Amino acid sequence: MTTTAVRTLALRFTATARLRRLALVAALTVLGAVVTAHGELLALAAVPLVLLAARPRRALPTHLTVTVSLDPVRCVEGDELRLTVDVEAPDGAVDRVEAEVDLPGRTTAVPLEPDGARAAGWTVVPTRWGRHLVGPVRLRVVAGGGLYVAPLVVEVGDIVVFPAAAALARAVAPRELAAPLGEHASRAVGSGVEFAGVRPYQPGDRRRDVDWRTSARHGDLFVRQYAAERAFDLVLVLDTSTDAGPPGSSTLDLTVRAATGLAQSYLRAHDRVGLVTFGGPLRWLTPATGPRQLYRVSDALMSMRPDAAERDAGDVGFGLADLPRSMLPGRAFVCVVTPLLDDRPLAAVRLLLDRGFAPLVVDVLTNEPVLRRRRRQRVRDELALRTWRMHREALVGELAGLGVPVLDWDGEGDLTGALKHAMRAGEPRLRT
Amino acid sequence: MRPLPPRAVVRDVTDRLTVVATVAAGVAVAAVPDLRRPVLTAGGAAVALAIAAAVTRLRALGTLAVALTTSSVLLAAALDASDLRPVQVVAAGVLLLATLSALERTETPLGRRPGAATPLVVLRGPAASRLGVAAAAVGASALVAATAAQRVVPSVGLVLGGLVAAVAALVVTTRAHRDETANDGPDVHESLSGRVPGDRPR
Repeated sequence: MTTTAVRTLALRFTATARLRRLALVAALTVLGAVVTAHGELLALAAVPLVLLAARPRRALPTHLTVTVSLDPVRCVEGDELRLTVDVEAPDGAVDRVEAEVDLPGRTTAVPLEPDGARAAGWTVVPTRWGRHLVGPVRLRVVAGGGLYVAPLVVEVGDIVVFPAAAALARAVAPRELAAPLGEHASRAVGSGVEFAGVRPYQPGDRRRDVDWRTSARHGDLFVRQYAAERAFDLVLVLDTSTDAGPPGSSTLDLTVRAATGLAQSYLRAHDRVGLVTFGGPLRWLTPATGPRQLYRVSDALMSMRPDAAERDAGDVGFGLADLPRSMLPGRAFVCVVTPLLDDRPLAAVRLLLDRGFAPLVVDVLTNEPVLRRRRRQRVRDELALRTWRMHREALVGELAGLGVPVLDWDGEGDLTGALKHAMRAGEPRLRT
Repeated sequence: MRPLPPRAVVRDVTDRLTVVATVAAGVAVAAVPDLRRPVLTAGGAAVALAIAAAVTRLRALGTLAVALTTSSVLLAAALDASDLRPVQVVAAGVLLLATLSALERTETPLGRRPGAATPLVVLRGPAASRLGVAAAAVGASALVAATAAQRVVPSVGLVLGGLVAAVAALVVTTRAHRDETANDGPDVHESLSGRVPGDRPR
């Protein structure tokens, strides 16, 4: 999707330093010539006087046509956008038009190679997910031989940068599935395509289901059975209380990427995906399926920001216990994505266990706090760091004690294998 | 502050050196062959100000350097007109023009953040028109200098006429640059989604 705008803008020129300096030199020289009665000094005055007289103010252009286009306006982190600026002015009326663009944080712009056309621009690369305002483009129109300059400001617009999804080779699911009409082979026997076993023939069985090899071996008729294909409900519970770590690979970045990857993979497999955020204001998105749900999830993820006021207000807004039943359907698989920086995730897991779910915790903390350099501060910091590590270990230990698998994810590995293990084996601690 | 790429650093240093060099050359042109103390003092101050302007990029210092360079030439002529040949005056004028251009390249334009990336040039006018006007200015200067160097018997009327013409030229030129309301267009803040009243908070 491209955004293009053509605008005819009025120019409001102001005098440049060049005009003032030329006027100063002309006035000084004429004054000097008059006072000292030296006519030859007028030769020096001739230079600024001619330059000033050749470009009167009334000859300046009054309007300029500017075309700004941004392509595309929706992208994924690291994608390249093309921002071009084209200026149309009467021939010779303008000496130079310079352009600068204001960019959001963690976004770079590289000038486009000139291709002979009038338009110039930048390749813009946003490296952080979210809704960002690109621009405005600030133009500086120099006219009248550099004697006048007019600033122009052209707004560009918002871009939507979707988070880069976590790698997930395929959408794995537990064997016990309740929802019908899906793509995951369940333990129940049904009319899928995955082989589930053989059983003795019964009247009414289809002839094409007869397993002739087994029948021949046993001397009696046997038929093949197939696994029923069921859908899967995935509820992503995201801890948005903190954003720790370097921008680009902070805990919130990894949380969003993990959630995006999971939601994409499972929605593609026609599963239902829901979303709950806690830590800040409690928000939820009832599980649903289809491409529209993917946009809803993306929208919800991109509006996530740590809210210190909500976080520091204790349990205000936590309220997982009060979530409607439709939000957490029975037999849904709950995946809690959290940096495990305080006790809230533990409380959330306890609530989920109380409601009969067996959640998986994905730990997205990749960096430890940085120690200060001064020796005295460092000693205190090291002590604090040890305490912090012990607290985290205790937290993980407590989760393991509750039978909740904890998966460390640093944003690089494929989550498929670990998820499969977590769903089917329930190992206490897994590493990708 | 964003570090400048190597080519931009070289260009920046060259521009700064050009400011100092052109001012020094302008002063030298005015001062030789008869070195007089007032001219040297004004010239020295001009060079010092040029160095300060090149280092600090302050617009006011640049303007003062230009004014002092002009004053050096005026002083040289006022003290002994026979020392200042027409070619020197023309050369001083050309060097002043070069100083102005170099100063503009050195100074950060109003509204641009210091250290910001070099702006992208979207449109550039024909070089012939820019250079043509400068060449005409130098030509006019040479013509005036050549006329002034003619050996004619000076008369009060001739001198007065020339000076009145110069003052008239100054007044006419100033009037040509008077601010007119015709250019006061509406607010220039535009948006892709239409006009917006002012700067949007970011």
